[in-house]
Amino acid sequence: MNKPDNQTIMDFVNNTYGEEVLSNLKNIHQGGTNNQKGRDYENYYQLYRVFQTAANDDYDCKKHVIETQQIGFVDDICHIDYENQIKYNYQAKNSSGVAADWTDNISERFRKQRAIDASCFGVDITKNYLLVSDESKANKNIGKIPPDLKLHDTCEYFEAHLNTLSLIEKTDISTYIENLTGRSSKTTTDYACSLVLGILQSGNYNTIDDVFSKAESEAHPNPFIKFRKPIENHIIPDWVMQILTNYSNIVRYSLEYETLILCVNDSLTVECKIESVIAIPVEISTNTITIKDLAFLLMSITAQDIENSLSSSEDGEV
Amino acid sequence: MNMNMNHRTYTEIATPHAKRQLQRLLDSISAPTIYRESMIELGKLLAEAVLPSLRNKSTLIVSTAEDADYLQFGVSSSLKSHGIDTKLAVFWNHHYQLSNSSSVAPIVHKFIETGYKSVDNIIVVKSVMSGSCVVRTNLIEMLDEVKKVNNVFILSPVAHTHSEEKLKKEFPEYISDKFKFFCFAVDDKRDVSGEVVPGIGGQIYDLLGLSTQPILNSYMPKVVEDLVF
Repeated sequence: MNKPDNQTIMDFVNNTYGEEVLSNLKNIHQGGTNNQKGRDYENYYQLYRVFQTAANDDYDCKKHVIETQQIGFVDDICHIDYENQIKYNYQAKNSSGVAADWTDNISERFRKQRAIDASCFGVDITKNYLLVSDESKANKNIGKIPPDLKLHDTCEYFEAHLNTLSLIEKTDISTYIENLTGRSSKTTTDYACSLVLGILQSGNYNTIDDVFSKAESEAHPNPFIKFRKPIENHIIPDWVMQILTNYSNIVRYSLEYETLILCVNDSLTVECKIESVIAIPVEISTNTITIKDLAFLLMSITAQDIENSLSSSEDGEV
Repeated sequence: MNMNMNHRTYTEIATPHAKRQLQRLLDSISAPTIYRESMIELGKLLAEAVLPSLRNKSTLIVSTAEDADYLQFGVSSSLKSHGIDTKLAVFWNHHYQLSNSSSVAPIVHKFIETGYKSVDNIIVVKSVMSGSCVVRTNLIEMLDEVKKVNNVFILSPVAHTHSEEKLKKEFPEYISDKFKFFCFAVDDKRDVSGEVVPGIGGQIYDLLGLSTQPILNSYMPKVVEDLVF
Protein backbone atom coordinates (compact mmCIF):
# COMPACT_ATOMS: atom_id res chain seq x y z
CA MET A 1 0.00 0.00 0.00
CA ASN A 2 1.31 3.44 -0.90
CA LYS A 3 0.50 6.79 0.64
CA PRO A 4 -0.14 9.08 -2.33
CA ASP A 5 0.21 12.83 -2.20
CA ASN A 6 -2.84 15.07 -2.62
CA GLN A 7 -2.07 15.82 -6.27
CA THR A 8 -2.12 12.11 -7.17
CA ILE A 9 -5.57 11.78 -5.60
CA MET A 10 -6.85 14.92 -7.35
CA ASP A 11 -5.46 13.74 -10.70
CA PHE A 12 -7.22 10.43 -10.26
CA VAL A 13 -10.52 12.11 -9.45
CA ASN A 14 -10.21 14.50 -12.37
CA ASN A 15 -9.36 11.71 -14.83
CA THR A 16 -12.02 9.34 -13.52
CA TYR A 17 -14.96 11.59 -12.66
CA GLY A 18 -14.22 14.92 -14.34
CA GLU A 19 -13.70 18.51 -13.28
CA GLU A 20 -17.04 18.97 -11.53
CA VAL A 21 -16.40 16.11 -9.12
CA LEU A 22 -12.84 17.32 -8.57
CA SER A 23 -14.23 20.72 -7.66
CA ASN A 24 -16.62 19.01 -5.24
CA LEU A 25 -13.70 17.11 -3.68
CA LYS A 26 -11.75 20.33 -3.19
CA ASN A 27 -14.76 21.96 -1.55
CA ILE A 28 -15.14 19.00 0.82
CA HIS A 29 -11.47 19.25 1.76
CA GLN A 30 -11.48 23.02 2.23
CA GLY A 31 -14.66 22.87 4.27
CA GLY A 32 -13.14 20.41 6.71
CA THR A 33 -14.61 20.71 10.11
CA ASN A 34 -15.48 24.33 10.49
CA ASN A 35 -16.87 24.31 14.00
CA GLN A 36 -15.47 23.51 17.42
CA LYS A 37 -18.20 20.99 18.20
CA GLY A 38 -17.33 18.96 15.11
CA ARG A 39 -13.58 19.24 15.70
CA ASP A 40 -13.88 18.05 19.31
CA TYR A 41 -15.98 15.11 18.15
CA GLU A 42 -13.38 14.09 15.55
CA ASN A 43 -10.47 14.66 17.95
CA TYR A 44 -11.97 12.44 20.64
CA TYR A 45 -12.76 9.69 18.13
CA GLN A 46 -9.26 9.87 16.70
CA LEU A 47 -7.84 9.69 20.23
CA TYR A 48 -10.05 6.69 21.01
CA ARG A 49 -9.07 4.94 17.79
CA VAL A 50 -5.35 5.58 18.34
CA PHE A 51 -5.43 3.97 21.80
CA GLN A 52 -7.60 1.11 20.54
CA THR A 53 -5.09 0.41 17.77
CA ALA A 54 -2.00 0.87 19.94
CA ALA A 55 -3.34 -1.53 22.56
CA ASN A 56 -3.93 -4.27 19.99
CA ASP A 57 -1.03 -6.67 20.48
CA ASP A 58 -1.62 -8.19 17.04
CA TYR A 59 -0.74 -4.90 15.36
CA ASP A 60 2.68 -3.60 14.44
CA CYS A 61 2.20 0.08 15.29
CA LYS A 62 4.88 1.09 12.81
CA LYS A 63 2.50 -0.01 10.07
CA HIS A 64 -0.59 1.92 11.16
CA VAL A 65 -1.42 5.56 10.49
CA ILE A 66 -4.44 7.39 11.89
CA GLU A 67 -4.90 10.93 10.67
CA THR A 68 -7.52 13.59 10.09
CA GLN A 69 -8.56 15.72 7.14
CA GLN A 70 -6.70 13.89 4.42
CA ILE A 71 -8.06 14.85 1.02
CA GLY A 72 -10.86 12.51 0.02
CA PHE A 73 -14.60 12.04 -0.13
CA VAL A 74 -14.61 10.42 3.31
CA ASP A 75 -12.03 12.58 4.91
CA ASP A 76 -12.64 13.31 8.61
CA ILE A 77 -10.54 10.48 10.06
CA CYS A 78 -8.71 7.73 8.26
CA HIS A 79 -6.87 4.74 9.62
CA ILE A 80 -4.46 3.17 7.17
CA ASP A 81 -3.52 -0.38 8.15
CA TYR A 82 -0.47 -1.08 6.02
CA GLU A 83 -0.07 -4.39 7.77
CA ASN A 84 -3.31 -5.87 6.48
CA GLN A 85 -3.85 -3.60 3.47
CA ILE A 86 -7.06 -2.12 4.85
CA LYS A 87 -8.08 1.54 4.87
CA TYR A 88 -10.76 2.69 7.31
CA ASN A 89 -12.41 6.02 6.52
CA TYR A 90 -14.73 7.95 8.81
CA GLN A 91 -17.15 10.73 8.04
CA ALA A 92 -18.06 12.22 11.41
CA LYS A 93 -21.40 13.92 12.13
CA ASN A 94 -21.91 15.25 15.62
CA SER A 95 -25.61 15.74 15.03
CA SER A 96 -28.95 14.11 15.61
CA GLY A 97 -30.53 16.05 12.73
CA VAL A 98 -30.66 15.53 9.00
CA ALA A 99 -26.95 16.32 8.73
CA ALA A 100 -26.32 12.85 10.18
CA ASP A 101 -28.67 11.03 7.77
CA TRP A 102 -27.35 8.38 5.45
CA THR A 103 -28.15 9.89 2.05
CA ASP A 104 -27.51 9.05 -1.59
CA ASN A 105 -24.73 11.63 -1.43
CA ILE A 106 -23.04 9.71 1.39
CA SER A 107 -23.35 6.47 -0.58
CA GLU A 108 -21.80 8.08 -3.63
CA ARG A 109 -18.95 9.57 -1.61
CA PHE A 110 -18.24 6.17 -0.07
CA ARG A 111 -18.13 4.56 -3.55
CA LYS A 112 -15.77 7.21 -4.88
CA GLN A 113 -13.53 6.94 -1.80
CA ARG A 114 -13.26 3.20 -2.36
CA ALA A 115 -12.18 3.84 -5.93
CA ILE A 116 -9.54 6.35 -4.76
CA ASP A 117 -8.25 3.93 -2.14
CA ALA A 118 -7.98 1.06 -4.62
CA SER A 119 -6.32 3.13 -7.31
CA CYS A 120 -4.16 5.60 -5.39
CA PHE A 121 -3.47 3.75 -2.12
CA GLY A 122 -3.52 0.27 -3.63
CA VAL A 123 -5.49 -1.15 -0.70
CA ASP A 124 -7.23 -4.49 -0.84
CA ILE A 125 -10.15 -3.38 1.32
CA THR A 126 -11.77 -0.04 2.08
CA LYS A 127 -14.13 0.23 5.03
CA ASN A 128 -16.16 3.43 5.22
CA TYR A 129 -18.00 4.58 8.32
CA LEU A 130 -20.58 7.25 8.88
CA LEU A 131 -19.85 8.15 12.49
CA VAL A 132 -22.81 9.73 14.27
CA SER A 133 -23.39 10.95 17.83
CA ASP A 134 -27.03 9.83 18.00
CA GLU A 135 -27.56 6.13 18.67
CA SER A 136 -31.08 5.94 17.24
CA LYS A 137 -29.88 7.80 14.14
CA ALA A 138 -27.11 5.23 13.74
CA ASN A 139 -29.62 2.37 13.89
CA LYS A 140 -31.90 4.05 11.33
CA ASN A 141 -28.96 4.76 9.05
CA ILE A 142 -27.89 1.13 9.04
CA GLY A 143 -31.26 0.32 7.44
CA LYS A 144 -30.55 2.79 4.63
CA ILE A 145 -27.23 1.35 3.46
CA PRO A 146 -27.48 0.28 -0.21
CA PRO A 147 -26.82 -3.42 -0.92
CA ASP A 148 -23.58 -2.76 -2.81
CA LEU A 149 -22.07 -1.03 0.25
CA LYS A 150 -23.31 -3.34 2.99
CA LEU A 151 -20.31 -5.66 2.98
CA HIS A 152 -17.73 -3.09 4.09
CA ASP A 153 -19.52 0.18 4.90
CA THR A 154 -21.68 1.00 7.88
CA CYS A 155 -22.91 3.63 10.29
CA GLU A 156 -21.38 3.62 13.76
CA TYR A 157 -22.45 5.34 16.95
CA PHE A 158 -19.88 7.27 18.95
CA GLU A 159 -21.11 9.55 21.68
CA ALA A 160 -20.05 13.21 21.59
CA HIS A 161 -17.95 13.84 24.69
CA LEU A 162 -17.68 17.29 26.23
CA ASN A 163 -14.45 16.50 28.04
CA THR A 164 -11.78 13.83 28.38
CA LEU A 165 -13.24 12.55 31.62
CA SER A 166 -16.51 11.77 29.85
CA LEU A 167 -14.58 9.84 27.18
CA ILE A 168 -12.80 7.89 29.92
CA GLU A 169 -15.96 7.11 31.87
CA LYS A 170 -18.28 6.25 29.01
CA THR A 171 -16.06 4.28 26.63
CA ASP A 172 -13.63 1.41 27.03
CA ILE A 173 -10.63 3.65 26.28
CA SER A 174 -9.33 3.11 29.82
CA THR A 175 -9.02 -0.62 29.09
CA TYR A 176 -6.78 0.14 26.11
CA ILE A 177 -4.75 2.67 28.09
CA GLU A 178 -4.30 0.23 30.96
CA ASN A 179 -2.81 -2.17 28.45
CA LEU A 180 -0.27 0.51 27.51
CA THR A 181 0.50 1.88 30.98
CA GLY A 182 -0.03 -1.12 33.23
CA ARG A 183 -2.10 1.07 35.53
CA SER A 184 -5.81 1.48 36.01
CA SER A 185 -5.92 4.79 37.89
CA LYS A 186 -8.07 7.44 36.28
CA THR A 187 -5.38 10.10 36.63
CA THR A 188 -2.90 7.94 34.70
CA THR A 189 -5.53 7.36 32.02
CA ASP A 190 -6.23 11.08 31.86
CA TYR A 191 -2.51 11.94 31.70
CA ALA A 192 -2.01 9.43 28.86
CA CYS A 193 -4.93 11.03 27.00
CA SER A 194 -3.45 14.53 27.40
CA LEU A 195 -0.05 13.40 26.13
CA VAL A 196 -1.41 11.67 23.03
CA LEU A 197 -4.02 14.32 22.30
CA GLY A 198 -1.26 16.94 22.36
CA ILE A 199 0.70 15.04 19.72
CA LEU A 200 -2.36 14.42 17.54
CA GLN A 201 -3.35 18.08 17.64
CA SER A 202 0.15 19.13 16.63
CA GLY A 203 -0.30 17.17 13.39
CA ASN A 204 3.40 16.41 13.57
CA TYR A 205 3.41 12.61 13.49
CA ASN A 206 3.33 9.74 11.10
CA THR A 207 2.61 6.22 12.38
CA ILE A 208 1.00 5.16 15.67
CA ASP A 209 4.46 4.15 16.84
CA ASP A 210 5.61 7.68 16.05
CA VAL A 211 2.69 9.20 18.02
CA PHE A 212 3.72 7.28 21.13
CA SER A 213 7.40 7.93 20.64
CA LYS A 214 6.67 11.66 20.61
CA ALA A 215 4.21 11.39 23.52
CA GLU A 216 6.86 9.57 25.56
CA SER A 217 9.40 12.29 24.84
CA GLU A 218 6.98 14.83 26.36
CA ALA A 219 6.12 12.66 29.34
CA HIS A 220 7.74 13.43 32.72
CA PRO A 221 7.19 10.88 34.13
CA ASN A 222 6.55 8.51 31.25
CA PRO A 223 3.39 6.46 31.90
CA PHE A 224 3.72 4.19 28.87
CA ILE A 225 5.31 0.78 29.19
CA LYS A 226 4.37 -1.00 25.99
CA PHE A 227 6.81 0.74 23.70
CA ARG A 228 9.79 0.76 26.05
CA LYS A 229 12.86 -1.30 25.54
CA PRO A 230 13.07 -3.84 28.37
CA ILE A 231 15.85 -3.22 30.85
CA GLU A 232 18.02 -6.12 31.89
CA ASN A 233 17.83 -6.11 35.66
CA HIS A 234 14.60 -5.74 37.59
CA ILE A 235 15.86 -7.03 40.92
CA ILE A 236 15.44 -4.86 44.01
CA PRO A 237 18.92 -4.33 45.52
CA ASP A 238 19.72 -6.29 48.69
CA TRP A 239 20.23 -3.18 50.83
CA VAL A 240 16.73 -1.96 49.90
CA MET A 241 15.23 -5.38 50.58
CA GLN A 242 16.90 -5.36 53.99
CA ILE A 243 15.16 -2.10 54.93
CA LEU A 244 11.84 -3.31 53.54
CA THR A 245 12.16 -6.49 55.58
CA ASN A 246 13.08 -4.58 58.74
CA TYR A 247 9.96 -2.44 58.37
CA SER A 248 7.65 -5.09 56.95
CA ASN A 249 5.03 -4.23 59.58
CA ILE A 250 4.53 -0.74 58.18
CA VAL A 251 5.58 -0.91 54.55
CA ARG A 252 4.16 -2.54 51.45
CA TYR A 253 6.09 -2.54 48.22
CA SER A 254 5.72 -3.63 44.64
CA LEU A 255 7.79 -3.62 41.52
CA GLU A 256 5.55 -2.62 38.65
CA TYR A 257 7.41 -2.87 35.36
CA GLU A 258 10.28 -0.43 35.85
CA THR A 259 8.95 1.30 38.96
CA LEU A 260 9.50 0.50 42.62
CA ILE A 261 6.47 1.60 44.64
CA LEU A 262 6.56 1.90 48.42
CA CYS A 263 3.52 2.47 50.58
CA VAL A 264 4.37 3.43 54.16
CA ASN A 265 1.78 3.12 56.91
CA ASP A 266 -0.95 2.63 54.28
CA SER A 267 -0.78 6.32 53.50
CA LEU A 268 2.42 7.63 51.88
CA THR A 269 3.12 6.22 48.43
CA VAL A 270 6.41 7.05 46.75
CA GLU A 271 7.70 5.89 43.42
CA CYS A 272 11.12 5.54 41.88
CA LYS A 273 12.47 3.94 38.72
CA ILE A 274 14.14 0.67 39.69
CA GLU A 275 16.96 1.43 37.26
CA SER A 276 17.78 4.52 39.32
CA VAL A 277 17.53 2.61 42.62
CA ILE A 278 19.99 0.06 41.32
CA ALA A 279 22.35 2.90 40.38
CA ILE A 280 22.43 4.41 43.89
CA PRO A 281 26.10 4.50 44.96
CA VAL A 282 27.30 2.54 47.97
CA GLU A 283 28.25 5.64 49.95
CA ILE A 284 24.60 6.72 49.86
CA SER A 285 23.04 3.30 50.39
CA THR A 286 25.16 2.60 53.46
CA ASN A 287 23.80 5.74 55.08
CA THR A 288 20.20 4.79 54.33
CA ILE A 289 19.02 2.94 57.39
CA THR A 290 15.37 3.60 58.19
CA ILE A 291 12.22 3.46 56.09
CA LYS A 292 12.06 7.22 56.40
CA ASP A 293 15.60 7.49 55.01
CA LEU A 294 14.61 5.22 52.14
CA ALA A 295 11.37 7.08 51.31
CA PHE A 296 13.18 10.42 51.30
CA LEU A 297 16.00 8.99 49.19
CA LEU A 298 13.60 7.57 46.60
CA MET A 299 11.82 10.92 46.39
CA SER A 300 15.09 12.71 45.77
CA ILE A 301 16.15 10.18 43.13
CA THR A 302 12.78 10.59 41.37
CA ALA A 303 13.23 14.37 41.48
CA GLN A 304 16.59 13.95 39.79
CA ASP A 305 15.14 11.57 37.20
CA ILE A 306 12.42 14.07 36.27
CA GLU A 307 14.93 16.91 36.10
CA ASN A 308 17.12 14.79 33.84
CA SER A 309 14.24 13.91 31.51
CA LEU A 310 13.18 17.57 31.42
CA SER A 311 16.66 18.73 30.52
CA SER A 312 16.61 16.43 27.51
CA SER A 313 13.33 17.87 26.25
CA GLU A 314 11.96 21.29 25.48
CA ASP A 315 8.89 21.20 27.72
CA GLY A 316 8.41 24.07 30.12
CA GLU A 317 7.84 24.13 33.81
CA VAL A 318 4.73 25.97 34.91
CA MET B 1 -18.85 41.97 44.95
CA ASN B 2 -16.95 45.21 44.98
CA MET B 3 -13.95 46.34 42.98
CA ASN B 4 -11.20 48.24 44.68
CA MET B 5 -7.97 47.18 43.05
CA ASN B 6 -6.94 47.12 39.41
CA HIS B 7 -8.51 44.05 37.77
CA ARG B 8 -9.49 42.63 41.15
CA THR B 9 -12.96 41.95 42.49
CA TYR B 10 -13.49 41.03 46.12
CA THR B 11 -16.15 38.48 46.93
CA GLU B 12 -18.81 38.72 49.62
CA ILE B 13 -16.80 36.58 52.03
CA ALA B 14 -13.78 38.90 51.82
CA THR B 15 -13.73 40.45 55.28
CA PRO B 16 -11.44 43.42 55.97
CA HIS B 17 -9.09 41.00 57.71
CA ALA B 18 -9.02 38.74 54.62
CA LYS B 19 -8.29 41.74 52.39
CA ARG B 20 -5.45 42.78 54.67
CA GLN B 21 -3.99 39.27 54.47
CA LEU B 22 -4.23 39.29 50.67
CA GLN B 23 -2.36 42.59 50.64
CA ARG B 24 0.16 41.16 53.09
CA LEU B 25 0.91 38.40 50.56
CA LEU B 26 1.68 40.99 47.92
CA ASP B 27 3.83 42.94 50.38
CA SER B 28 5.82 39.86 51.37
CA ILE B 29 7.06 38.49 48.08
CA SER B 30 10.62 38.53 49.39
CA ALA B 31 9.76 37.46 52.91
CA PRO B 32 8.79 33.77 52.90
CA THR B 33 8.24 33.57 56.65
CA ILE B 34 5.65 36.36 56.63
CA TYR B 35 4.18 35.00 53.41
CA ARG B 36 3.72 31.58 55.00
CA GLU B 37 2.01 33.14 58.02
CA SER B 38 -0.43 34.97 55.76
CA MET B 39 -1.23 31.81 53.84
CA ILE B 40 -1.97 30.01 57.10
CA GLU B 41 -4.17 32.90 58.19
CA LEU B 42 -6.01 32.94 54.86
CA GLY B 43 -6.56 29.21 55.26
CA LYS B 44 -8.17 29.81 58.64
CA LEU B 45 -10.38 32.52 57.19
CA LEU B 46 -11.46 30.32 54.29
CA ALA B 47 -12.26 27.57 56.77
CA GLU B 48 -14.46 29.96 58.74
CA ALA B 49 -16.32 30.81 55.54
CA VAL B 50 -16.92 27.21 54.49
CA LEU B 51 -17.64 25.87 57.98
CA PRO B 52 -21.47 26.23 57.94
CA SER B 53 -21.66 24.38 54.61
CA LEU B 54 -19.84 21.35 56.02
CA ARG B 55 -22.72 20.64 58.45
CA ASN B 56 -20.31 19.04 60.92
CA LYS B 57 -19.73 16.17 58.50
CA SER B 58 -16.39 14.40 58.01
CA THR B 59 -14.22 16.12 55.45
CA LEU B 60 -11.23 15.15 53.35
CA ILE B 61 -8.84 18.03 52.69
CA VAL B 62 -6.96 17.69 49.41
CA SER B 63 -3.79 19.70 48.97
CA THR B 64 -0.68 19.99 46.88
CA ALA B 65 2.61 19.36 48.67
CA GLU B 66 3.50 23.06 48.49
CA ASP B 67 0.26 24.19 50.13
CA ALA B 68 0.15 21.45 52.76
CA ASP B 69 2.01 23.23 55.58
CA TYR B 70 0.51 26.65 54.91
CA LEU B 71 -2.90 27.21 53.33
CA GLN B 72 -3.94 23.64 54.07
CA PHE B 73 -2.64 23.82 57.61
CA GLY B 74 -4.68 26.95 58.21
CA VAL B 75 -7.84 25.31 56.88
CA SER B 76 -7.44 22.02 58.75
CA SER B 77 -6.40 23.55 62.07
CA SER B 78 -9.44 25.83 62.01
CA LEU B 79 -11.84 23.03 61.08
CA LYS B 80 -10.39 20.76 63.76
CA SER B 81 -10.84 23.50 66.34
CA HIS B 82 -14.52 23.52 65.39
CA GLY B 83 -14.77 19.77 65.90
CA ILE B 84 -14.83 18.74 62.23
CA ASP B 85 -13.40 15.27 61.62
CA THR B 86 -10.83 15.84 58.85
CA LYS B 87 -8.60 13.59 56.80
CA LEU B 88 -5.73 14.75 54.64
CA ALA B 89 -4.61 13.95 51.10
CA VAL B 90 -1.43 15.51 49.70
CA PHE B 91 -0.17 15.15 46.15
CA TRP B 92 3.21 15.74 44.60
CA ASN B 93 2.25 16.79 41.09
CA HIS B 94 4.65 17.50 38.29
CA HIS B 95 3.01 20.54 36.75
CA TYR B 96 4.36 21.39 33.32
CA GLN B 97 3.36 22.38 29.81
CA LEU B 98 3.28 20.12 26.78
CA SER B 99 4.53 21.38 23.43
CA ASN B 100 0.95 22.26 22.42
CA SER B 101 0.85 24.60 25.47
CA SER B 102 -1.67 22.52 27.39
CA SER B 103 -0.83 21.92 31.05
CA VAL B 104 -0.55 18.55 32.73
CA ALA B 105 0.03 17.70 36.38
CA PRO B 106 0.65 13.96 36.77
CA ILE B 107 0.74 12.71 40.36
CA VAL B 108 4.08 11.14 41.21
CA HIS B 109 3.90 10.63 44.99
CA LYS B 110 0.91 10.87 47.28
CA PHE B 111 -0.16 10.80 50.89
CA ILE B 112 -3.73 9.84 51.74
CA GLU B 113 -4.60 9.52 55.41
CA THR B 114 -6.34 6.28 56.29
CA GLY B 115 -10.07 6.45 56.93
CA TYR B 116 -10.76 8.81 54.03
CA LYS B 117 -13.15 6.60 52.09
CA SER B 118 -16.22 7.38 54.15
CA VAL B 119 -16.03 11.19 54.19
CA ASP B 120 -19.05 13.28 53.21
CA ASN B 121 -17.21 16.35 51.99
CA ILE B 122 -14.08 17.06 50.01
CA ILE B 123 -12.26 20.36 50.37
CA VAL B 124 -9.63 21.14 47.78
CA VAL B 125 -7.24 23.89 48.82
CA LYS B 126 -5.09 25.76 46.33
CA SER B 127 -3.10 28.91 46.89
CA VAL B 128 -4.35 30.35 43.60
CA MET B 129 -6.94 29.02 41.16
CA SER B 130 -5.54 29.76 37.76
CA GLY B 131 -5.72 27.19 34.96
CA SER B 132 -7.24 24.58 37.31
CA CYS B 133 -5.03 21.81 35.92
CA VAL B 134 -3.62 20.71 39.29
CA VAL B 135 -6.98 20.93 41.07
CA ARG B 136 -8.56 18.94 38.26
CA THR B 137 -5.97 16.14 38.44
CA ASN B 138 -6.11 15.82 42.20
CA LEU B 139 -9.88 15.84 42.19
CA ILE B 140 -10.01 13.12 39.56
CA GLU B 141 -7.72 11.02 41.76
CA MET B 142 -9.80 11.50 44.90
CA LEU B 143 -13.23 11.25 43.30
CA ASP B 144 -12.13 7.89 41.93
CA GLU B 145 -11.57 6.79 45.52
CA VAL B 146 -14.36 8.61 47.38
CA LYS B 147 -17.37 7.97 45.22
CA LYS B 148 -20.13 8.84 47.66
CA VAL B 149 -19.01 12.35 48.48
CA ASN B 150 -21.85 14.88 48.55
CA ASN B 151 -20.01 18.18 48.31
CA VAL B 152 -16.75 19.36 46.78
CA PHE B 153 -15.55 22.70 48.13
CA ILE B 154 -12.74 24.48 46.33
CA LEU B 155 -10.98 26.95 48.60
CA SER B 156 -8.50 29.46 47.31
CA PRO B 157 -7.57 32.97 48.47
CA VAL B 158 -7.51 34.22 44.87
CA ALA B 159 -9.00 32.88 41.66
CA HIS B 160 -8.79 33.91 38.03
CA THR B 161 -12.10 35.03 36.50
CA HIS B 162 -12.44 31.97 34.28
CA SER B 163 -11.03 29.31 36.59
CA GLU B 164 -14.40 28.22 38.03
CA GLU B 165 -16.03 27.86 34.64
CA LYS B 166 -12.93 26.13 33.25
CA LEU B 167 -12.81 23.56 36.04
CA LYS B 168 -16.52 22.80 35.75
CA LYS B 169 -16.21 22.20 32.01
CA GLU B 170 -13.62 19.52 32.64
CA PHE B 171 -16.02 17.32 34.59
CA PRO B 172 -19.33 15.65 33.78
CA GLU B 173 -22.26 17.57 35.23
CA TYR B 174 -23.06 14.96 37.86
CA ILE B 175 -19.68 15.83 39.40
CA SER B 176 -19.41 19.57 38.66
CA ASP B 177 -22.84 20.09 40.22
CA LYS B 178 -21.20 19.28 43.56
CA PHE B 179 -18.59 22.04 43.23
CA LYS B 180 -18.79 25.09 45.47
CA PHE B 181 -16.12 27.75 45.19
CA PHE B 182 -14.84 29.90 48.03
CA CYS B 183 -12.35 32.66 47.38
CA PHE B 184 -11.74 36.19 48.62
CA ALA B 185 -10.70 37.84 45.37
CA VAL B 186 -11.18 37.29 41.67
CA ASP B 187 -8.56 38.67 39.29
CA ASP B 188 -9.12 39.00 35.58
CA LYS B 189 -5.59 39.64 34.40
CA ARG B 190 -2.58 37.46 33.69
CA ASP B 191 1.01 38.46 33.01
CA VAL B 192 3.00 37.24 30.00
CA SER B 193 3.97 34.04 31.79
CA GLY B 194 0.33 33.28 32.55
CA GLU B 195 0.47 34.13 36.25
CA VAL B 196 -2.69 35.69 37.67
CA VAL B 197 -2.03 39.34 38.64
CA PRO B 198 -1.98 40.66 41.22
CA GLY B 199 -2.99 37.17 42.35
CA ILE B 200 -0.80 35.96 45.18
CA GLY B 201 2.24 37.88 43.98
CA GLY B 202 3.84 35.33 41.67
CA GLN B 203 4.75 31.65 41.70
CA ILE B 204 3.89 30.01 44.99
CA TYR B 205 7.09 27.94 45.17
CA ASP B 206 9.39 30.94 45.29
CA LEU B 207 7.08 32.93 47.54
CA LEU B 208 6.97 30.19 50.15
CA GLY B 209 10.73 29.80 49.94
CA LEU B 210 10.56 26.34 48.38
CA SER B 211 12.51 27.41 45.24
CA THR B 212 10.79 24.93 42.93
CA GLN B 213 7.97 22.39 42.71
CA PRO B 214 8.06 19.89 45.62
CA ILE B 215 8.34 17.01 43.15
CA LEU B 216 11.58 18.49 41.84
CA ASN B 217 13.27 19.05 45.18
CA SER B 218 11.69 16.14 47.08
CA TYR B 219 10.16 18.53 49.57
CA MET B 220 8.30 16.77 52.38
CA PRO B 221 5.64 18.84 54.17
CA LYS B 222 5.87 18.67 57.93
CA VAL B 223 2.20 17.73 58.29
CA VAL B 224 2.80 14.63 56.19
CA GLU B 225 6.07 13.74 57.90
CA ASP B 226 4.39 13.95 61.30
CA LEU B 227 1.51 11.72 60.21
CA VAL B 228 3.63 9.05 58.49
CA PHE B 229 6.85 8.64 60.48
